[in-house]
Amino acid sequence: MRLDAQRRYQDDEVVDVVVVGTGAGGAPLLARLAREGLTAVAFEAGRNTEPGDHTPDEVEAPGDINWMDERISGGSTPTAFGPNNSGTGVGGSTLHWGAFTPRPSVHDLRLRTESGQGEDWPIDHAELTAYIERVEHEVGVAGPEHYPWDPSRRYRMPPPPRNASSDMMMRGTAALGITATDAPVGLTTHDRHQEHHGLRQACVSCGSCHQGCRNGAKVSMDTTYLPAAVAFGAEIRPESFVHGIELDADGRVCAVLYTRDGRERRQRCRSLVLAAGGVETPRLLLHTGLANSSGQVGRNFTAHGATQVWATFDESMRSYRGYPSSIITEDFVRPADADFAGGYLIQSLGAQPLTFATTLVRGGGLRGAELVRAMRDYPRTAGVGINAECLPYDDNRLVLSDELDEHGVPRARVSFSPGSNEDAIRAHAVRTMTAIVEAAGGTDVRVLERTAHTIGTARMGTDAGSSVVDPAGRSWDVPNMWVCDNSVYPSAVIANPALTIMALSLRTADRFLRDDPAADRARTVTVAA
Amino acid sequence: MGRIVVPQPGEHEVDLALRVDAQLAAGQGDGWRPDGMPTDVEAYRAALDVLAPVAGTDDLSAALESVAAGRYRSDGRLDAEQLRAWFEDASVDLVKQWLAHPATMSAIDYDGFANGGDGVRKQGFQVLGAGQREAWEPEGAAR
Repeated sequence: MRLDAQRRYQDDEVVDVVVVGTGAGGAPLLARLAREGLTAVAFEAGRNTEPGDHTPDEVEAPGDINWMDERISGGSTPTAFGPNNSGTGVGGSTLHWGAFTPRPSVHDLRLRTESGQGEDWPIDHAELTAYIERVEHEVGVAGPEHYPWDPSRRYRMPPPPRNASSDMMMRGTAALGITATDAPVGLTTHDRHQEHHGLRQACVSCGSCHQGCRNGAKVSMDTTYLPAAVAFGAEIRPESFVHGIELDADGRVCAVLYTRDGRERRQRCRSLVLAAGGVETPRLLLHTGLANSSGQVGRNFTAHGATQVWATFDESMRSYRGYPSSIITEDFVRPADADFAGGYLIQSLGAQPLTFATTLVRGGGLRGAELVRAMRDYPRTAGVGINAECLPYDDNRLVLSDELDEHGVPRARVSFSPGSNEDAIRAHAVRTMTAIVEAAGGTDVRVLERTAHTIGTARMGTDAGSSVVDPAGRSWDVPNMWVCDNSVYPSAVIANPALTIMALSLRTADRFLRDDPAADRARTVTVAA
Repeated sequence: MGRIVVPQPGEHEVDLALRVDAQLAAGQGDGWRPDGMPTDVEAYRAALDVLAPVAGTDDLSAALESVAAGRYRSDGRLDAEQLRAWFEDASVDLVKQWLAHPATMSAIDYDGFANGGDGVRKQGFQVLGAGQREAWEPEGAAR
């Protein structure tokens, strides 16, 4: 994005707010605070790019938009980082995200009340939904005319065209009596003038969302909220890695320490918002030792079950064409026959070949002739996948390893093992998905295991002893420090995270401006009858 | 080993080992590694040392099956679980290098690399259904 004319602040200038991270958690808040006249600097570890800089090449794209600095992943089913779930660059993970934008269900925000497991969100569903509607309006979200599971919902743009994989899922679900329709997606499906950015052309169905959208059709922070932030006087500082936080004598943040162009620097500030994502935010907090009187930083790491079921069809499908996940069913948000807490969403799948092959090896254990045959069948392959609830467990957490990165900051080590609840959801979902692809005429069914997203490592809650931030996103320990990204999620929520993160970002900005901790911490969530 | 993990169909083989070697030399990983593993380069060196006695013999295939199952007995610098994790990583590297070659992309009827071209609008796909092709697409392998 264009940064050449942006306002710039000196390191020794005390800016009102420093934001670390320019993705879905940082950008909406940055725009909102800048619009209110606050002086703000957003730090981004990655580079600044234009949409046209991206490439559909799966070999080159990760170095462009994914966080490739090594992380260590353990547990019984180590979750993959890099291109699987970790972004970098001005725009953060919205550069590589899949733009799938279901809204969170009221059931997911009341998980503990309804199931006795996991946690409730200390946020009213109606309040969150109001912020989500604002985000959908501001960035442009497309969806079906009629949304079967929420009839009053309206999308302002029609959905993108369906591809062969979409037709397959519609066919299979129809045969089984499962309701499915066009998914809500963060794409502009007509030419759109984005305020402060300019023209975003309609999606051309190229299918390379995960490699970075070249024409700005996919919602990305560098074509939406960040240009607005810059227009209102915020500065975005790319290739600037924050590794330290300085407190004054009163225990308030007064500066951040960062590296830029190989030089150590210090930016003074009146407040700090961490929005570096579910891995980098807790990593920075553990490294600095701040905001962790609860001992909860890095704990409650969850990753959505993202099992995929693929099948081979008689016709050429080539499901890499078109928007990859254009069909959704919410019929399994809370299945009637569930023997588990939570539920799952199903989407149609398209996959680029290297990504698909990686999942065949890691998630399906394929090697040799079977692997080659699966890839020879690739053009006739289509599938469906889930995003499933994940409960927190004591052993699933992020800690610092004893290995240092190039900045001298310890690398993150994440342990992740699914529990019996995740196994039960997976079994249910595999039965459902297998039935769908078979009803659609698929044979040679393959189940591929995968997890997605990095969630819950700086939990939001109503109790300072068991959470890192209060219901507004403010640290319980450091009064002018805030966290705003998927690390604050009290529970995983089966709706893919980015839309909700953007909504939380606008909400956190409002709470920041209101500056009323007593009100934020009063228990005011209304429990629906 | 490349021939066992990715037994390439057809007469012309892509030299996978050469490409993985270049990838390692360039330090291109995938952004993470399994807990308990050394860096990619060290893991490759150690694992290839472990497998050196069976390399190039008829025993390699059985040895790799045992490695994949986490049962290969090793007195080298990697234990059975480390070898298993390395082999998973190596298998991903090998199959990706095979697929990234234009000849393989052609063989699997993939032309997605051709999208995104800079015209008045970016190049995408207008025809998306099963069995359908754009006028600009090559005919692809008969399937």
